[in-house]
Amino acid sequence: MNLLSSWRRRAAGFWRLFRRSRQGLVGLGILSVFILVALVGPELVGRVDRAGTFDQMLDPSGGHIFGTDRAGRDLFKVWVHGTRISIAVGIIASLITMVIGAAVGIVSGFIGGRVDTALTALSNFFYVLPTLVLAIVLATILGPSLLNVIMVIAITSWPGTALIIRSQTLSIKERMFVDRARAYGAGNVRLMTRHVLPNVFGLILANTTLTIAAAIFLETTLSFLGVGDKNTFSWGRVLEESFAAGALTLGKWAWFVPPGLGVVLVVLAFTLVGGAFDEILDPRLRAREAGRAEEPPEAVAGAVVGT
Amino acid sequence: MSRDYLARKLAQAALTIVAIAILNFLLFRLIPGDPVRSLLPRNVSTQQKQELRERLGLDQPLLPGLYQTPQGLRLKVEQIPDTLVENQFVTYLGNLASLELGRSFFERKAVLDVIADRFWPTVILVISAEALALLLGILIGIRAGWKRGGPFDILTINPALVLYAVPLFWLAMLLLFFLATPNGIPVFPSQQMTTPGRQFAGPLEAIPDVLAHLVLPAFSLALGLFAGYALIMRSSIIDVLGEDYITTARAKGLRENDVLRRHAIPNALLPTVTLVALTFGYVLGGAIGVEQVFSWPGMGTLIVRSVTQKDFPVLQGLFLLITISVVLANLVANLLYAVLDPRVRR
Amino acid sequence: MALLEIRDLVVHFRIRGGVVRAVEGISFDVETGEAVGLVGESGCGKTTTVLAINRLLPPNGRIVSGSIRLDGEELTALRRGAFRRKRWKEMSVIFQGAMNSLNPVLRVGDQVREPILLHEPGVTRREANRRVSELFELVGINPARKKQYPHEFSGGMRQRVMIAMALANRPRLVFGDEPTTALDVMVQAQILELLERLRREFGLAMVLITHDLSVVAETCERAVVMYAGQLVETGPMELLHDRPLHPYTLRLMRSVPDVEGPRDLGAGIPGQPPDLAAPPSGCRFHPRCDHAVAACLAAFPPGRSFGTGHRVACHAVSDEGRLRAPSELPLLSGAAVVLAAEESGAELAMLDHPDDPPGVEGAA
Repeated sequence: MNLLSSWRRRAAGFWRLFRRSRQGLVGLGILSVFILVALVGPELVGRVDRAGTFDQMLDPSGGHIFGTDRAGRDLFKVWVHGTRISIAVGIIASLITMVIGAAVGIVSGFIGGRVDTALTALSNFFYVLPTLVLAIVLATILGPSLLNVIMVIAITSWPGTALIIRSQTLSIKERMFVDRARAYGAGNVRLMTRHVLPNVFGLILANTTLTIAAAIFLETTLSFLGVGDKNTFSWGRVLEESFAAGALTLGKWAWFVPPGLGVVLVVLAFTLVGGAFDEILDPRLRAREAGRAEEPPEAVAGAVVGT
Repeated sequence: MSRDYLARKLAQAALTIVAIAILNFLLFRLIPGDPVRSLLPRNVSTQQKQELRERLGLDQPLLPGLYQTPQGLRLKVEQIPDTLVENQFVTYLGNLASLELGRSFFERKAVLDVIADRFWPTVILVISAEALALLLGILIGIRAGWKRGGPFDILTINPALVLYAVPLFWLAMLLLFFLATPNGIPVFPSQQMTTPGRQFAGPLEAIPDVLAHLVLPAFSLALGLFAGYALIMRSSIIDVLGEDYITTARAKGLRENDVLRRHAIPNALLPTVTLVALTFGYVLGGAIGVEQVFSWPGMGTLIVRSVTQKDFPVLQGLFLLITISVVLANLVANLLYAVLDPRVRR
Repeated sequence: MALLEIRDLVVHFRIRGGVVRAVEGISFDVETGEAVGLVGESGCGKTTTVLAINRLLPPNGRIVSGSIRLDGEELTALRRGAFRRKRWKEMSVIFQGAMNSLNPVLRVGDQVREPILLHEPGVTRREANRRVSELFELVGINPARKKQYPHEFSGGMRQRVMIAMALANRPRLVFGDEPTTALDVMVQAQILELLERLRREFGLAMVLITHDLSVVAETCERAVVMYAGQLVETGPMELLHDRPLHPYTLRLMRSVPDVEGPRDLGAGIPGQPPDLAAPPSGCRFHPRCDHAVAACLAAFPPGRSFGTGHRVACHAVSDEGRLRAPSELPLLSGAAVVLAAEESGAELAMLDHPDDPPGVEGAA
């Protein structure tokens, strides 16, 4: 099978294009640091323990670089653990989003007809609803748990993906090779998994990256508003606690600045990387952003013809 | 605007609103556990529970023949003909039609009245933030797109990209910390819409106080929003500047400023203006967090309160109001686009 | 003194990893009231020439050297403001109206009126409106349609609006950039007829860019033939048609059948126009030329005149003004040329463009 080498070749080509995007590289740099913290950080800093009265609400110092909270927990450790939870929730939620969105999009675009009409109407309906409000209501009804928050994010986020994947599927369907494969008697499922899926894969990847940013954003906001898991300290949950404990008036900036900064940097990083993916996939966008100077139609025609 | 286009958009909006009404009904029937139990103190008798159940119409089936029992949903086919009209869904639709949204569990008031108290503060906040964000976003976007790659572009667009990644409530926290607490420079009030305990002779008297309280929440929301508008306006200007009619305008001898003002901006504004209406839901979402930080007495804080108090009738009412207004905003966006763009207008 | 004098115009575009040499030292004149056709395959630099004259080059394009004189005044030396005041008033451009050259959100009447109010400050709005109505009548549009938007017009009607706009300030010189392309044949004929009528009526000089030779044959007294940014031959239309001297012109004329009708240039010419980021040395036509000799690879030949404004730049043309047949020449034709170019590549490339290594054609 040449499948592996073909994927490797594709990946190499992809990386060559990605390397050109300065924004993409900055995003990737920030991201690597945070992923590393999320992977090994919690084990390195150890468990987050409550502590005695004398250790509560301490200001940042050598021992506790972000200080401690009302229960005497070391806020730096809390922050490190929060990094893992926030990023994990974001990634898991967007993977589910992707599976739902891609499945709906591919089926809708490929099968067409009434199935398409129904699925598109459904996607459009959920797309219009205000994400945060729907998420708050759903989270309240389902009850506050990490799993529920993940489900809520997926339920509210899939339509955008579905609509994008659908339109891409439509254009792929038009192309010759699907017809040729169909002539050999391949079934719909086989066509969708073997021909459509590999061709929308790049788009799915770019979209997942952007969805992770949105998912982390959403989780943070939900937790801050008090509909998140009360027992898990994601960044948003830390922010909620700091706010409820009056960290703002008490001047305990090291309680609420690091988690917020974490969200900003990670969301920014995922957005930058996703933007770079998008540019690679959409040549029109690439030309616009990269070629500071547009080439005159004539000169381009000449140059293209000459190659 | 063609009659066809108008009719299609209106029909779409109407259908969506019907679907929202159905979703709203289903969502709040999905709540696990006996809805009556969460309404009453623990020590009430079974009979009292039954009475409340009847009063709320909860003894009726959800849909014709579909009963909610402690064991889960059960479909009784033989009951369908008898319960075609007497079911919770029909009752719910009837109530909706007469704007009867039920009573709050916690305030001795109708849901509609509870929401009405919180309506205007949110409207004031959102409108002032939108106005500010649009002004900033459009001006910065135009300038940045026009001199793409120049110092202004680089110095504004990169911060805008970062701002785009900042949770609005956290931005609000920072502004509050630095401009409303002694930890920074306390220039503005930090909480509520008016100074607590202060009496005003009339509504006019209150305006300066309200404005002072409005500054920080409005700015928090506007800062988060303007970034999106600036980015869209910028890329829109860049697209338009590559169009043939811009070359025509230059060839005619217009000053660069006039090329921009008379030919580029009117075309580039189209997507941005539409975006304002399309992102209405996002703005309302952002307002929730900002209101929460500043204890702004609007619908955002009301949502959070009804979530923590499990005041489902109020939450339901807010959900309905907000989703429907977002659908209407979308409709406005479509119609606005048609009015502004002569190509769609006919 | 001619109305418009172009001398040794050189225009380059910066692109990623190189320079596109779009126009390489062309010279020609346009007399008052004269119609000149600018002819060549797409990508030969005709549009670039017109954009350069009108200072409409995109940001990466630049006039490297050369002179552009309008009524004896050096345009390239004019400051921005001074040039802007001349625009449209003294020379205007008829863009492809069928495309996106009219602003979609402005009423067509306002777009036609704009240059009148801009360049003639003494004119009142009412008077300008009256003139717009006159212009509309002149080009055969009902003046009542002033209030409509571009999308409400057909391609041909939009082209008429564009013509009305170009004539708004009664310029002496009008450029037409493929004014009939993308229109159907009937409409093309109408538009050409309209242009011809207006030209005679107003004594306009006109430079018509087209890849359609039959259009030039019908409307122009003189033609300028360009190939890959170089001017290869210019002269009265009949002369070029009946007795072309340059091998490229010869091919062009042969590719047009006697029957009237549109015909794309280059259809009958084997090979492809070159990549202008790495053009062939010397005469850029040599890789496709049956008459190529060694000198063609070394240098672009100087233009030689053969009476009545007929000028040609070709090594294969004898001093008496006759294109020598391939049999009379020390031949270097077809593939042989390419081989020769590759063999002597390094040296030849050094002669012409020290920066360009040989054999990089197509690498862009």
